[in-house]
Amino acid sequence: MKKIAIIGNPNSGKTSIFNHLTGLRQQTGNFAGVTVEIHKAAIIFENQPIEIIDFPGTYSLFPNAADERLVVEILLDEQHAVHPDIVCYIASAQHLERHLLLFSQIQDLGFLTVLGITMLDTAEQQGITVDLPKLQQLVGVPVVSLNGRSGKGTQELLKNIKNASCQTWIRSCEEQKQFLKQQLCENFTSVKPQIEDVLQRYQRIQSIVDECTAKKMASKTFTERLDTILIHPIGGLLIFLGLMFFLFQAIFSWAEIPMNWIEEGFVWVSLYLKGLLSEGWFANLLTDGILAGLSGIVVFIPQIAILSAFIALLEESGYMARAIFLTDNIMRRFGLNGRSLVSLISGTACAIPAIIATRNISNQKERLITILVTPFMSCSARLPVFTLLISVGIPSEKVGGILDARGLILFALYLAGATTALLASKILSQIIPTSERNVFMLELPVYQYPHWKSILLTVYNKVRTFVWEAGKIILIISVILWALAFYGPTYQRQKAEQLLQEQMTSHTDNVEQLRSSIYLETSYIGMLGKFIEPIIEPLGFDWKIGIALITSFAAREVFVATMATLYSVVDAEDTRTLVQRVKAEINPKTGQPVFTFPVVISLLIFYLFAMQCASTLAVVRRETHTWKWAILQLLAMSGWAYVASWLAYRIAVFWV
Amino acid sequence: MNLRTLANVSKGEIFVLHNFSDENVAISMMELGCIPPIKIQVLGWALGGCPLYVKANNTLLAIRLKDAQKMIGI
Repeated sequence: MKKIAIIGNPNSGKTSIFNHLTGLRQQTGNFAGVTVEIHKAAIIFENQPIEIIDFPGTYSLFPNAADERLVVEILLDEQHAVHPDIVCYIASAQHLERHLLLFSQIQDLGFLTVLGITMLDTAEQQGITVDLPKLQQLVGVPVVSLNGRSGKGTQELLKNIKNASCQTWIRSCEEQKQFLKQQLCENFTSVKPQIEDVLQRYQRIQSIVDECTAKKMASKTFTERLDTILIHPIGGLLIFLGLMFFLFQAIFSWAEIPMNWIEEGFVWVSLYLKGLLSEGWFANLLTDGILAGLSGIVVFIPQIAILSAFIALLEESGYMARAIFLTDNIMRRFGLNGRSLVSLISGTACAIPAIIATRNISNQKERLITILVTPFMSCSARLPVFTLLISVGIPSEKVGGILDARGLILFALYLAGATTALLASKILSQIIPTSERNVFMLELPVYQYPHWKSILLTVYNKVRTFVWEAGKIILIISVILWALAFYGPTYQRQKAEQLLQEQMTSHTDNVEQLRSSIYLETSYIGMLGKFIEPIIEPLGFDWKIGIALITSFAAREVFVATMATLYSVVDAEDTRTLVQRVKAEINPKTGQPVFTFPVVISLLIFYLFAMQCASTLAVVRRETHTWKWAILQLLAMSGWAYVASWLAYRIAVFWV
Repeated sequence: MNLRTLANVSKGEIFVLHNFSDENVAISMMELGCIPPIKIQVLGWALGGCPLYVKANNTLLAIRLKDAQKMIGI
């Protein structure tokens, strides 16, 4: 099958062309050792199967980031799975001079090429006209006019594949390969030959562009006029914060409606199956293991879809580059960039879509740091845990006669999460090495109406990737946790039956709940809770809290449901009963209440910092293509949660 | 005329870039089509004076102040 590469500069419109060519047939290809993804799709054209590959956007073959480096590696490696036979090079008419640099470098590698020119209409508005037949004559390869919005010209592009040709510019094919291999070996650190290469190419490019384009002096463009408002140092920042607030609302509130439908749907199916199947391990596995796991995957789809659509909208319109510009000064102090801020803010709703959104960060180091610190932001799943614990341990008093103590604690928790994320970024930026050039230059593209088809395609691809890639891991972890909670050693189960018979007389109203509570206590997970008690005792936790810590490892919100089971509350939604029971719990060793103020503070701090989310873990694994970072993140967050929790507990004990 | 860096240019002023004092800045600018001598107009700044918002060769660019200090011209 012929492999056709779509290559071009960032903002050349090449992904829109790829989307028009391939539609929903896109697949994502990952390559070992790199965090970069390449989208490809197999299509039939004129009864011939062809594979189309969308390469990451790059300005030249002298890479400055991991994705750009991958382009060079693939083009030099003839054995690579996506090494192309033909290149469809996409260049924008607005910036023809700059876009022909990479084109000339690729031509020198000997690739048969077709040149597609996009944004002719936008260029015309700016007073630039391009004579395409003249350009074709000068560059010596077929030139096709393309429209990224309507898709006009894409079929013409494919038809011209058979006419694709090659013309060398400054080196023979062998010399160019040798030159780039040498640069690759030196990790592109020797800049002088690169400068000479670029200057030599521009001499010829300049004369070609002068010959085939006509430029009229244009007045201030629409983009420049809009930018006087949108990137105003204060006004622009306020508009950006307003947009982020809107995004936060969308993820937090709007997504809640479909999320509730999904949860209710799964509860309904679960109850239906329980009624249909006779009680036993299979019914339990299906409802509490598999269905619960599936629910944990599907429930995130609305948030991922909303965030992906919003980010795609910002990217497509050209606003994302302005957001990076506005916040760069603040974020770079913490080793991050403006795109990181979008992920961090989204992380307060849910870390899953926020981590997926880091794909838009081209600098691999900044992207990795953002992935690693985003789970410190207090997500919506922490809210039920915080609400329960605050109701149990923090009195409803007014601080300074105005502020509610409980509200103040909740605010402090959110603030502590954000501060920790930024401090962790600062530390990680000092530790993680980078080979990327420490130069920040960003092109601010012209504003454009977004392509709705492209946005929908982006949303579809992001959701599909999450469901298939992260979903597998979430499902496996859910089933393992189910097995640990469902099964227990025989001798423990006999003890459980005895205990149940004894207690049934005093708990006639909720026997089922009592059975669940006793069975959970005598299950493997219950035994684990007791086993870890000595480790968690310094934090003020007992074995019952230990069980909740283990069950909520997959999803922190499970903490509330586990507490409800452990304290034999019929309806976990009825938090008042749960709060009363939890408050009344007495520690048999000390004779004092279990949930004292220090214990509650300690638990709050633990849930604020600990990972406690299998879905996040799975997504980190998915996005970094290695378990290394996911496990390091889990250990670091859990370790820090333990230390901070212990400190908070000691200070609170001293205080009280 | 005295040489200066892009970092010293006022808003709205046009700067003619002649040279770079750093090779990494040079190659990054050249990849973006900014080959000296080229006219660069400063259109504004973000909060705190960094990054700069400039127009060069029909392209709008954001450049950090520390990189602008390595661009020499008049």
